[in-house]
Formats: sequence, structure tokens, C-alpha cells
Amino acid sequence: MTDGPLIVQSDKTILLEVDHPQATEARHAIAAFAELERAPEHMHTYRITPLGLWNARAAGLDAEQVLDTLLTYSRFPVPHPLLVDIEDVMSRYGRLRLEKDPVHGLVMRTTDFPVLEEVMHAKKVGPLLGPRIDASTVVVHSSQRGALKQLLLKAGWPAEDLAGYVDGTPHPIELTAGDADAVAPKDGTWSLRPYQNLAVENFWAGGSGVVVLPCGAGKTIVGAAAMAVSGTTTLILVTNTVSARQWKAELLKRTSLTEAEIGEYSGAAKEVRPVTIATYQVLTMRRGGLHPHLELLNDNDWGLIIYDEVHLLPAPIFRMTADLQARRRLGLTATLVREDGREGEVFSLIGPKRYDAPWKDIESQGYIAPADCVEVRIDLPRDERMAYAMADDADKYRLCASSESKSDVVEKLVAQHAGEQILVIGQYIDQLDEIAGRLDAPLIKGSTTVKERERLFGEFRQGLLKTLVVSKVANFSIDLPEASVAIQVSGSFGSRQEEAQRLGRLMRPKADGRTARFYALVARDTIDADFAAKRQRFLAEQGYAYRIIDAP
Amino acid sequence: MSTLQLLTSRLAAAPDAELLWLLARRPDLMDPPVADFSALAARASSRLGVARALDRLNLPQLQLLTALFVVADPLQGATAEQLAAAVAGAGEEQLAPWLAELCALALVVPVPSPPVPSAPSRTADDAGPAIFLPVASLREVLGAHSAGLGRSYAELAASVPGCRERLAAAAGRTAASQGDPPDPATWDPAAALHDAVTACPSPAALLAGAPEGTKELLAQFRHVPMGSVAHALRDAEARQEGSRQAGSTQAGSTQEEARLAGSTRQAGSRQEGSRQTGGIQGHQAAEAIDWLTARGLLVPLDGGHVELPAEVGLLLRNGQVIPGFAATPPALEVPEIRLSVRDNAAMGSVAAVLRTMNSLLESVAGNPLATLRAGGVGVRAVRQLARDLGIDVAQSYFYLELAALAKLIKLNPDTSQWHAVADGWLARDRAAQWVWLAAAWLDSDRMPSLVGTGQPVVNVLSGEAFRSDAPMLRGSTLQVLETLCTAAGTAAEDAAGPPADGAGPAPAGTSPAGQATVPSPRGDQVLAHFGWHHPRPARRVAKALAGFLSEAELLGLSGAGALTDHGRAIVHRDWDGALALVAAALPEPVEHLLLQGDLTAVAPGFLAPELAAELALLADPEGRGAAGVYRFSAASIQRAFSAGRTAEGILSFLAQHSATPVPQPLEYLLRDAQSRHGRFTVGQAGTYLTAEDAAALAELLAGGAAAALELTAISPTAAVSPRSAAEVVSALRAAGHSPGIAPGTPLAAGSDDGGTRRGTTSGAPRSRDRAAQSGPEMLAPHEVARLLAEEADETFEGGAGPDADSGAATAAVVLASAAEAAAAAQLGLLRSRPAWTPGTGESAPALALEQLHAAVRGKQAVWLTAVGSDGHPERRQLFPVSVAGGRVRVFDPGSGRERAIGIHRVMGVEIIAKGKGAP
Repeated sequence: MTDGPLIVQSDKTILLEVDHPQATEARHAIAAFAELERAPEHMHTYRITPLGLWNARAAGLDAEQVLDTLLTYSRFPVPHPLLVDIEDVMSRYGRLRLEKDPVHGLVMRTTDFPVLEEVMHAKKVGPLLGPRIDASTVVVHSSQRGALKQLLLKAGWPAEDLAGYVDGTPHPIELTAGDADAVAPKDGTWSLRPYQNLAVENFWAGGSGVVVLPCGAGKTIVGAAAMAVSGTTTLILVTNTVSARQWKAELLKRTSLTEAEIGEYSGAAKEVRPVTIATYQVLTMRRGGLHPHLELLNDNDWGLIIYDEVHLLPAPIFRMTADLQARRRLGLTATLVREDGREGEVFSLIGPKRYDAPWKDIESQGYIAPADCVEVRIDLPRDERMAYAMADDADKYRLCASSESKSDVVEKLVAQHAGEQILVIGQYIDQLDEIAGRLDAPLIKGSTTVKERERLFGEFRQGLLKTLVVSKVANFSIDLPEASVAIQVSGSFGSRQEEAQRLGRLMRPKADGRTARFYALVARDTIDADFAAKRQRFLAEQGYAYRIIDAP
Repeated sequence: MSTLQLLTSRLAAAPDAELLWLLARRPDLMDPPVADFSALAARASSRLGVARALDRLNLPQLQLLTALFVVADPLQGATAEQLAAAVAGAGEEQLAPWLAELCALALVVPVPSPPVPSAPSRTADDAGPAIFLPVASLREVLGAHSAGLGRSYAELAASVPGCRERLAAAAGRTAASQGDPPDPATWDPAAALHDAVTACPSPAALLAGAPEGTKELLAQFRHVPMGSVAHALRDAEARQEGSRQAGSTQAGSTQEEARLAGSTRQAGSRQEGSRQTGGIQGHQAAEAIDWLTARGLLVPLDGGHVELPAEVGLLLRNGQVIPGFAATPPALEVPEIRLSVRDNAAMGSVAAVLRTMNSLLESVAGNPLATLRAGGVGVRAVRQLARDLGIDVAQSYFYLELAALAKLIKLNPDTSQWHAVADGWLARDRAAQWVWLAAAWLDSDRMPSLVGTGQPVVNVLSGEAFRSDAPMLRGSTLQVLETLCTAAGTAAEDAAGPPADGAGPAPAGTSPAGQATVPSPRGDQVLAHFGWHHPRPARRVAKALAGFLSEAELLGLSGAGALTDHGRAIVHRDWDGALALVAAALPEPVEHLLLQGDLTAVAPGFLAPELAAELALLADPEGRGAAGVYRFSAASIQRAFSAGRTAEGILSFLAQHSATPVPQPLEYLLRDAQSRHGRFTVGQAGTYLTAEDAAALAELLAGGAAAALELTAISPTAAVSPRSAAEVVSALRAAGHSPGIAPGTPLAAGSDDGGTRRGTTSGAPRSRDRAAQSGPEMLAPHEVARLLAEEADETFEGGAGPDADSGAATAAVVLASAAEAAAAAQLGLLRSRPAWTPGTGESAPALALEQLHAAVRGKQAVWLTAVGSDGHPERRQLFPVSVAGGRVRVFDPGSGRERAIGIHRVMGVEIIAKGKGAP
């Protein structure tokens, strides 16, 4: 046996020993078909899933190469059933193909007659198909292209979509890069990085699909470049308004688009322009059982639809996307892992993974601990413990999370980090009110006006304001790379995924090499601690350094 | 001349090497050791002995033996020339080596012509072609329908009721038509028909004048001598006449009668079960059948079946018993796989099977498996186990069976539960554990693949999965796999010589050096080859073969379908070789962990068992595979504390074995859990007792009642007792106290409760004691066998033959040749006794049987000595009629009646020469 860095487990996970000399090589090799699941300090865990294997197939990898990679880098024998399974799964992709037929329109062709028979006799697939043309071809109702792909994926026979796309309304867009005569970019000259170029090329060649790039690797620029190649009207779907503004700013900077050509379609404004940036929130808004804004997707002749943060794409968008299969779709994300397990729909409706960033970039971004997480365990005083023991289940969390003793600890911590930019985050307003009072710091909560918020954030960014207390409502618009210390007194962010991302955005390694610090105050022996245990596991798995200390 | 006698003298005259070769090929002949050569010959030609020998024959050997059996007269035998004529596709020279092998196997007795009485010192330079005689019991083993031919006319007439009459009618008609009316007194219709058919020069002559479709009809009897026909007993002649007159009017009624279905009674036949009369119109077939039966060419057996007599069948085959001699195994395109793939798959399986077996034993040790009343373990318990092990239910059947046949779990007859008994197992290293499993599997008389199949379903660990021939079938399957895997790249073997079986090439030399690929035969290819190597058990193995192969794969004997080197060693029962190979291939156990911030410990490889056990106490295992992932949690740490560990102890254990520093969160978790541990202490008590006055309690505790009640003070004013409240109350009252009773305390029937609790608390250690007392360390089944062989070796050493002289051989060689030593000892024993001891010992019944057969055939009278019902021997002059089913039917000329005598009562048989004693 070789002394490789991988250990392939029979439960379809791959353990990668990070400190092994061949680790980087092996990581590159397996990243093509396995998804990173956990990345603690010494052993990273990858998982082999059918989707991952099909993504690899779509990227041109065949089973032989995958097996060879595993056998080459594995330290111990690879379970043979797993190898057989990989071969079987990979051979399933592409046996069915959706194609454009000059006579019959959209058709499904197969190289394997029994497979076609099998799927045609599936109860749900049948109604989506039209008449049979010959033994290996059947007509598909063009409106059902997306639904069919979803069902075929569920049946385990993912179809390769080669049917092409509508052109959309032309609208020339150019990148400012490399064009000296164009309006000078604000931050000097720039050009597409090679991997961004490759990502766009891969995407365009494949038609539709997802480009996986880590945070900060320039996903927006990949989007802009894709728009330039497309040269059509474009719809960009983003997670929230802040993100929409960032996109707009970036597009203005990187492309020939002008302010008038870019529209924002959000809660605040409803502009439809050649390039429209819409938020998921507004599209999925329901009024009287209808999604009044979802029509935006289909009413206009978009030539390209860009989905930002695909891993957060909400379900109604999926439903709508199923009807948009004739339009080019570009998904941008840092990870293909979804909290809700809808990876399959991303694969079938938006498309397979077209590009994955080289690990080196990710390494510089996410996997050297971006922030130092410290959990502070606080002993509740005796009377609070009695109150907690006797409280109803519904009140328990509130009781332990908003304990008096936390305020003391916050005060001490703030004193300890005097002179640094400190953010205090909490869920319960009265608790925050009290803390703000004690620290003599401004509080941003739901009732704070937008203008006031902007002012406070602005002062904080400029360093005029050292300490800021914010409630949950502010979570969404936090983009404060200057903060070096965050103290969370109660509550947690939405999903774990989101938490890690925001943490990453909030806490960048500072210019002077000092890592940012994230304190979470936890009441000992309460359900607060249970939540903390989950967070600890998740953050540690994401590669953050994590410590637990007793309250100072 | 008796075949038995001939065989005895031949064996006695054979050189040592040949006898040793025979004993190695047919080890059942010396198990238990035989007394002398005549006993050896009797055993070699007994029904069971021949059946076993035939199961081992390969296709050409069996074909040749069958041909000999068919063409040879039971007394006169057949010459090699006659044999060659009966076998299509092979000449006399080509057959010679095969024939010699059959002779060496003591299935055929070569006799120089003319056969002379036994003369042990006879030289081999006699003139005249040698004659070959098949051994006596061949008929019983091959069956009446050998080579796909029917019975002869004589046999049919003798054994089928009413057949003689029908044959007489048919023969009579033929004879009458030739204007040659026979004399009914001396005329034998069977002989007449036999002569008529054998006199025919060709099939065409025989079928001259047959109606259309006869040839096609007969073609269906090519491999199967019997067919089913409706109303087979109809008066063929009348019907034929009728149909001839009425023309097609009869056709309608005969259509359904003419459905022929080949009945595959013959075990060696390779034909599928039933067939239709392809291409023959119904009334045509009926006509043909009528024509054939009218002439006695097709013989009705009963209302629904007809048989083609051997004479006719043979004529249709142009006198050739064997239509195609298969000197070489079927040529197959065996797919090749890379050597690395094979080794990867096999070593992965080896590691996996050991991993799974260990967790199975752990699981069974935790909850023993209860058996069902119907036998075996219920599917619910198995499902639970499968979930625990993370494998599917079908695989868990195999693992349970494997554990049972390796004697790692045992049924306790008192509790009807399967318990894990793995004392000796856990102490071994992994390679030894694997050899334990593989060796136990190889010799097991159970077929795990039968579990979960059948109707009703065979339960796991139930008696239904027992098959006595499983070890033989499994062993042969693996040997066939081995030959297929070894025959890499080499074309068809030398057609003239029989392939060397048994001793394969040395394990080390088998891997092709140049290109790193090995053949990996598919299941159907193995089966096809099995059909050539061992045609007789091929049908039995067909169902089990897939099971054998997949089990070999699970065990890691084969990898991706190709037999591995260590698998080859196991097949050759070279346990030490296998042990060395596997030990070299299995990675060393790792002794270190990687501790991580997400509270996991990862063991990058197989963790040393004692380390793994400790870690499993501290943390919960996660996932499955070569590496162990363990997750620490508050619950798992508490479990460790409850088992007596301390935070300091755990930390030093981790620090000692971790390759990385202990992460701060883990250390914190340990200390935190430590500080929370033991805030409360829990014990078991039946009754509590409190006192207002500490002094009163102290007084009570000091008294004699306290000792009887096992009172323990847990604070100055409180004490507990394991006894029931009623007992405590009555004891206190007896001591002159007047205790108050706390509300809700049950005082009635409390002693029962206390009794059972005592029983349960003291029961656990007792059972542990029993486990500890189970004697010296357990041994693997193959090791037990080896110990026994060694002992046997020592006992044989005194009388051992020349082989024992080379005593300087290494211990391994001595062990490997234990069987050879036994054979040598056996040989020495044989040589020390007189060769021919008629009428005594093991050979007597065989000789008597042979005499009886001869008398039946020759219609001779015998002096038969049999033990009567009163226990006294009686000697009578009788005519044996038939020998079957353990009884001989005799005609007693004295009383004029037939009677049956059990063979076991026959003491002696003496044939009375013709004309001397006839009544």
C-alpha cells in the first residue's frame, strides 16, 4: 500500500490528512468529484455523492480517472463496493440527452434503449413526453424541460441538456478591462484573472451551470464577464438589497454599463432595465397566495440569468426556474452544500458545476483561521439558576441568554479590548438597552431610522465610534470589515451556513496580522450551552480556531 | 472371476507411489484406516466410495468411465479399442492416459486378456490386449440411464412390470411378419429384440418404412432417454391400423396426446427440463410413436411415459456412447483486471470483514441474540444488528453465520441465546483472526447463502442452512476458480494429457511479472469450468456457486473476482502461508490519534485494539471505514467517568497517544464534565430508614439486626437496606423497635421483590465467572484440526513408511504433510497384512453382493447363508432374482415362492455352477 494522504471510508467519505506532503495534490485531485464536508485542523472530510460524481462527469472526468485518483492517493485499500458504485453512478450521466431536433423540436435521445424505456414508464415522467419518434428518441414538451430534468435526476438518470438556448434581447455590454480608451476604472487598471477567464469560458461552453468560487475570489467579476460574453439583457438575482447595491457598484466599475442601464428590483425600488438586479426576498414575496413579482423572471426576454449565492436560492425561485430552461443560467456560489439538501435541484435546474476554484485561492481565504472564536462560559448566579430550573421551556432560553451576569462580562471584555473596534450583537432589546447604557455606546435596533443607522455605521467604519451595539435586525446589513472584536451576547444568526459566511465577512485577518476575535457569551449548564456546542462543532468544522474560557 | 478379487490383487501388486497417489485422491478410503487390501478394494468399489470418487472426476474421465460402463460386458469387460469406438472425437492413444488415471483411481480394473485368476506376482508382459472392467457399484452410482441412454431390453423386461408382455407382443409381431413364429417356451422377447436391433447396420435400416416425423421425434431422445406421452399404453397396433383407415379423422383426438416432454431423470444430462415437439405436427408425432411402440423401438413404461431402449439409442448414435469427447475445458474469454485492483479489493475486504466481525461480536456480547422456536434468529434482531453494524441485512446473515461457524458465537442451550465467546479471538493479531475466519468458512458444512431464501424462508443460524456437501462443493469451486485465475494467457491446455490438478503453482510465482493484470472470471464462467472439472456435482453447485464466490469476495479470498495469493494459500490449506501473506499486506496498527477542535479524534488507520477499546469508552465511534473517527461529547465523557476514569487520567491518556496537542475545547469539556460529575451519588437500596435522633440510629446500626438487614448509614440520620420494607419492619419489630411507616410503602409480598432483585444483582458476576472459567484460551477450528493432526502424526510415527525417514524437514513441512504421513502409515499397515482374505472383514459383504449380482445376471442358483429371525444362520439353495434397496429378492425352488432377504443378514454366497445344482 502506498502511504497516501487519503483514507477512503466505506461510508463514502474521504479523510484527507492535511499535514501530509501530498495533501495539496490529493486535494486538487479529489475536489473535482467530492464535496468538502468538514475542515477541522488535521483531517478534512470529503463526501462522495452522486451529484458530485455527475458534476465531475459533466466536467469531462470519467470513472476511470476518479478510481485512479482514489487508488493512487489512498493509504489503505479502497472498499471495492465503493469503487463499483462510483463506476455505476458515473455511467448513468449522459445516457439520456435533451437535444434540439430540426423537425420535432425538443427531443430526448438515448444511447441505451432500456433506460429510455424505464424512464418512459415511470408514472410521473410519462405525461411530460410527447410521441415516440424511434426506438431511442422521444419528443419532450418544451415547457416541461426543467420538470423533466428534475424527475430524471430523481430517477437516477440525469439528462445532459444539449438543447441550446434562446438568444434574448441583445444589449451590448463590455468589460472595461484592457481597454485603455474606456472610462478609466476607479481603482486603476485591472483585468480578468486567469481563473476567472477560465470560469467564464467553461460556463459559456457548457451553456448553463454553476461556478464555485470562494468568498472574495471575484464572483461578481465572473458575472460581469459572463454578461459581456452574452451581450444580452440580464437578470441578476441576489440575496438582499445590500448585495444588490454592491453588484450595481461593481458593474458600474467593471463594465461599460451606465447608471441608467442598471435597474434595482427590490423592496425599495421596482425598476426593470436592460440589466436588472432583483432580490430573492422581493421575488418570493407572497400576496394573497401569489408571488406578484415572480413574473419578472419570465415576462422579459432575458438572455442571461445570474443567480448569486445559489446555495441560498429559495424554493419558489426553483419552481420558476424550472420554466426558464431555455435561458442561459449562471449560478455563483462559494459552496454547493445546501442546508436544505436541495443540491439536486441546483444540479438539474441551474446546471452542473462548470468551474471550481483552485484550492490555493480558497486556502488564502477560508481555511487559515480567519477569526479566533472564543466561547465565554458564565456561571449563572444562584437565584437565576433557580429561576431557570423552574421556568417553562418556552422561557428558558430567554432567561439564560439575557442573564445579568453577561452584561458584566461584556463590560470587562470591552475594557480588555479598549481602543479596538468592538461590535456587540444580541437578540433581546432590553438586554441590549442595558448593555448600551453601561458601555455608553449607541444601539442600533429595529426602531432606529435608516438615516441614523447609516450615520452610525459610517462613524464606526471611519473609526470615530469605537463600540457599537446592534440587534438582530442589523444582521442583514453588517458589512464592517473594520471590526476586530465582536461580542455576541445572545441569539445566533440564521442558518449555520450564513453564520459562518457573515463571520468570515465581518472578521478578516487584519493588516497588522492580528486576527479578529469573536466572543460568544454562554450561560453554563443551560440550553444556551447546547446551542453553543452546535456552533462550536460547526465553526470548528469550518476551520475556525475555537477556545472556551471561563468568564473573566 | 470377481472384480473385487481382481481389484484386490491389482492394488496389492501396485507400487507404493501409486497407492499413495490413490489415497491422496480418495482420502475417504483410509478414513478410518482399512485393515487389508481386500477391505481397501471393497471400500474403493462400494457405492459410497464410488459416488465420492465420481464426484471428483472431470468431464473426460467421467465420459470415458460412462462409455466403458455402457460398452463393457459386466464380466468380460471391454478393450481399449472397443472404448475408442464408443467415444467420438478421440482415438485409442488419446484415451490411454485418461484410462490409466481411471485405473489408478481404482474405478477401472485392467486385466490382461484372457483374464486369469488372481496372481499377485503376475508380470505385465502377457500377450493380448488388456481388458478393462468397471468396478461393481458403478451401476448403482451412474444409474440406469447413464450417458443419456435408456435401459437395455433385458433390463426393461426384468424391471418394468408388464413390460415383458408388451415386448413379447412387439417382438412376436416382428417375428411373425418375418414368417418365423417363435417357440413360446424358450423364447426370450428381450433377447430377440436386442438381437434384431443390434443386427441393424444403420439407423436408416432400422427406421425403414417409418412414418414422417419419426426421425425428428427420435432426435428429441438424443440426450434424454425418456419422454412423457399421454396414453402411452394404448394398443399401438390397433391404433395404427385405425388411424391408417380413418385417415385424418383421428388427428384431433391425438393432438394432445402427442405432447412430448423430455423428462430429465438423468443427473448428468445437460438438457433443459421440458420441451415441445418442435416442428412435428401432433398427429404426425402420434403416428410416429405408434409406429415405434408397435415395433418395440420405444417402450411404454406406464400410462404417461415411454423409454428409448439402450440398443436403439446406441444405434441412433451410430454406436458411439459419448457423442463428443471433451478433453479440454471450455475455452472462455476471461476478463482481465489490474493486479492492483485485485489486491486493493481483497485487502479492503479483509480489513472490512475483521472490522465488521469485531463490531458484531461486541454487539452480540451486549445483547445476546434470542433464537426463535422454529429455529434460527428472528429477522427483527438481525435488522437491529445490521443497523448497528451499518451493513445491509443480507450481509449481516453472512456475518452471523460466519461468526457461528468460526465458533465465535455459541448457542447457550439453557437460555436459547447466542452469546459471544471471543476470548481466544481478541488476543490474536488481525492476520491470525482472518485466517481463523477463512479456514472456518472453508470447512464449514453450512451454506450462509441459503439464509433468507426458500419457502419457507431459511432463518439465519437455523438448521436449514446445513448442507453436508458444502465443504466439498466450496472447495471444488475455489479450486476451479484457482485454475481459471492461474491459466493466465495460456491457451488451451495440452489436449493429450490430463491437466495436473490439486497441486497448483507456488503462491509466490503466480503473479504475472510482465503485465500487471490477472484474470477475473465471471460467475457463469466459473460454473462452466466447474461443469468440466466436476460434472457430477455441477448441478448441485449451480445454485450455491454465486454464494460461494460472493462470500469469498467478502472474506477477501478473491478481489474483484480474481483469486488472490493469500486466497490461494487458504484453498491449499496452507494456513501459515496465508497468515504470512496477509500479515505482510495488512498495515501495522496505528498507535496515535489526531485530536481536533470539533471534538473528534481520528485514528488514521486500524487502531491498536486496547487503544480502540479505551477510546470507544471515552467517545462515540462515527462512520465506517479503515480509519476510526470518534466524537467526544458530554455524554460520552460522563460514561467514562462512570466507568471510573478521571479528567486527569483521560488527558494523560490522550496526551500520550495523540500526535497533536489536545485542543483547548476538549480539555475544557473534560474539566467541565469533571466538575459536574459526582454532584450526586446514586446507589441501589430496597428500603430507607430515617431517624430523628442520630444516636438512636447509631445504636440500631451497632446491633445485630443491622448486620442481618445489611443496613448502611448514608448520613447520621438515614440508612438504607437492600431488603424489602416488610423485612426491615419485621426485623425492627423483632428487635423491640416500633418503626413508623412512610406513606405509600408496600409491606405485603415484599420479600418476593427482594428475592428477585438479589437474584439479578448477583446473577451478573456469576455469568461472568462462568465465562472466565471456560478453560484454556479458545482455538480456531483449523488450529484444533492441526493439533489433532500433530497428535495423530506422533502416534503414526512408529509404523510410518519410508517417508518418515526424512525427519530433518522443517516443522511447517511436517505439518503440511500430515495427510501424507497418514497415507504412508496406512500403506505400512496394508503391506503388513495378507492381501486376499475372502469372506472376512470389510470385503465380505462386498464380495457377497458381487456374487449375488453375478448370479442374478447369469440366472444361476446360489448357496445363500443368511441369519434367520431366530439368530441362527440358515444355508439354502436359492435363485436370486434382483438386488435393490438393501434387499435381495430370491426365488426359493423348495417352496416355489419368492421372498426378500435383507442384505445385512446375508453371511455368505456361493454360486452353484450351472447344471450342477439346478432343480
